[in-house]
Amino acid sequence: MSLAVLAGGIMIAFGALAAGIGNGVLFSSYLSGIARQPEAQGTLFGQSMIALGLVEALPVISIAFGILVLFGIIG
Amino acid sequence: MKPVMEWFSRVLLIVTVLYTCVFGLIWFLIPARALASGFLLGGLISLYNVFHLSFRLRMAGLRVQSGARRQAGLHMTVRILTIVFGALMVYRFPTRIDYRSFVLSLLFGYLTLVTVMSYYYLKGNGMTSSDEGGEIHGTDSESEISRDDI
Repeated sequence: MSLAVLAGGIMIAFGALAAGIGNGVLFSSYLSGIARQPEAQGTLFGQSMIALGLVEALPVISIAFGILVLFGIIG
Repeated sequence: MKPVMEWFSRVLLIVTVLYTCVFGLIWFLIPARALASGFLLGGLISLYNVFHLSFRLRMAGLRVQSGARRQAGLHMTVRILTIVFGALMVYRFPTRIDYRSFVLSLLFGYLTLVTVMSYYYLKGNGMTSSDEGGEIHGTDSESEISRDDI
């Protein structure tokens, strides 16, 4: 097994793990906020979207790079 | 809920059309077709992911409000699989799609999302939700009412 394959696997795995944890924390807070105060859904929606966008951007790049490394396009 | 959602969808749709037109024109006019198609593929995948994210977030909120027993998820697997699809396209057609522009343009949708929503809040639209049929508890108006009562 070459090191590039290992590196690609680690990039994909940790990227997906980080995105999953971050999205899970944010999403659970969003849902509990709506459950407590349903009329604040508009405000919560926008703020959650900003946070989810920030959380998800980095893992997306990590996953794309990982796949490209895994297939030998990079490295 | 409705105004921010409609406004965001409209702006994102306009951005998507503009993005497609610009890189479609570049693809037609400039010989660097691999670069343009990489930007097109990555950008459209990214914008689709943002659309999907907003849709799932809205659906989850509506489900909680309606009291449905089965909760909705964010469908993150679908978004990861779209990226895998793009990477497989790059792998299958390496001469037609440039991988650098593909990876770079994957950020475009998320940057647009953060910029558009931040602009919405900086404009002062999201400070109160009175225009959306509700109110935020714990404001000054509430304390004034309690003072009058005393």
